[in-house]
Amino acid sequence: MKPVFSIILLLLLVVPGCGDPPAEFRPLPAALGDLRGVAMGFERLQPLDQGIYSAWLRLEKGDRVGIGTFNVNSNGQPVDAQGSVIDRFTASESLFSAISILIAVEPHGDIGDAPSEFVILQGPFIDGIATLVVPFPAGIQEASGSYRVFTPTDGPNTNEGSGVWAIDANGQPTMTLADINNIYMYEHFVVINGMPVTMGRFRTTNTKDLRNPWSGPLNSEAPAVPGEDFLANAPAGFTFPANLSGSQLLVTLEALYDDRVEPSQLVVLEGTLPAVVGGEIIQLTNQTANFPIGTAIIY
Amino acid sequence: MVLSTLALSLFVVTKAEASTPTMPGFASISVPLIAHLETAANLKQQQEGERRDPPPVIDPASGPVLSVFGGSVFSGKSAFQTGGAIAYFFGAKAGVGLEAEASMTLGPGGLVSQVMGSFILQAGARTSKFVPYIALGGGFLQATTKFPDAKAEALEKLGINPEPTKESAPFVHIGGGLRFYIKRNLAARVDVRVARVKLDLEGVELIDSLFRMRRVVGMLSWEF
Repeated sequence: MKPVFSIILLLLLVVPGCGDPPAEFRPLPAALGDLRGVAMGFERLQPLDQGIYSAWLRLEKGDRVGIGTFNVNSNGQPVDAQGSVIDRFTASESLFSAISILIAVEPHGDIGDAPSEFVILQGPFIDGIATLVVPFPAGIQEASGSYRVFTPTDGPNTNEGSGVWAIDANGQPTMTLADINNIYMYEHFVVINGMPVTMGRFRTTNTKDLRNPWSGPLNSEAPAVPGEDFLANAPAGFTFPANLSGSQLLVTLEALYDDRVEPSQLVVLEGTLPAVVGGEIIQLTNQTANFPIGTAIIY
Repeated sequence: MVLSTLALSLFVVTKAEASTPTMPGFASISVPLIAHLETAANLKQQQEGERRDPPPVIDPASGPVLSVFGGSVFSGKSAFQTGGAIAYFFGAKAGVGLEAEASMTLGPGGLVSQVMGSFILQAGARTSKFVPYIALGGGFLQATTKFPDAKAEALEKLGINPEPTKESAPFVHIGGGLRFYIKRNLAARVDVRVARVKLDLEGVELIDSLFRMRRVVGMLSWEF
């Protein structure tokens, strides 16, 4: 009897060594629950000029599975590097028990074993379908604010149209933003002649932002709110003191780590400066309804 | 003289039937006649010889076997499989058999129906309570999948129509198991199979078109 047992064991050990599941959809694996494909579609997700998107699924046991990188076209379809639409992303293991998916921005265009810190969309799977939303801080849909045009860092009545600060005429902070989460920080920009210039990153609206790179010599006069004077150290392509008339103001959500210089597509508040001479209050409008969304389907 | 001969015949038949418990009905007729013809010494020698010989084989292990089974298919998620099989084993030791099986697998995403045949080699039927065996063969399956309406609608919105939703494919399998005799004609059985299904994939090497299925089932088998 022993040789028979040995043969059985040998056969059972040797035979399972080959045969990966097919990359394309097939009814047999699907019927047995061996689902390894994901279809995705997006709305308002912007094509990336630098970097690339990556998609990752979290399985029931806690494992994370990357299913590939992509960019998007103007129709919100995921595309490969050649611009071809990707109908089906394929995983190396069954995704039947996947519980969630996230889309990250990979700023350097390559991926490792884990997604970057810049998660732009995520969602849980319910019956194999995930609705993807920006993991924004709770309450951000009610965010509001305004900027006052003036330049406190070079003294009164000097270049007053070259700075903006989130403060009213009485010295009170004017920006109401949700408490930040562990994914993002706020950053505000002014876009002068189509070129964005950062005013610094911040977590709260009643303290200074983290940088004042363009402000004047009287930095101690700067109010304890986010803001910037565009007076000195002009970056290439700009002339300071800047004329901010017609410029655009943006408050965005940016990745906590590995952030890019340009503003992200997650614009929370937006406003446009009219012709300014100083003292104007610029109201910002909430743009979170324009955040990208998406759908992912396991099949 | 006649009475003594009859008395001796009755004694011999009684002794002979007591010493040959499986003797068929013909023996009960033939033995008195033989006893009447043979001498007492010859009868004694014959009785001694019958005690040493094994009883005649009237219960060979070969024959048909009917089985029902239930268990799991492991490909992706675990799926329930149930079905029936009929086999026929050949030879006095029933070492070789052929089995035909039909089953249905209720997967989380659809239904798989299959028929298959197996060539079985086993050892120790009826001489041991435990009978190991190996099996190999082939078959044919048909898989049908159906997406829930919500998923079908979501895929349609993305412009994706996952077709086909039904496919048929041949497969080969190999495996083995162990039969345990609960009663003389009733056995419990554990059966393990590994199968390779040839999917109809275009532009793919043969080895890459093989889909792996594994199953473990428990069986109840009746032998006739």
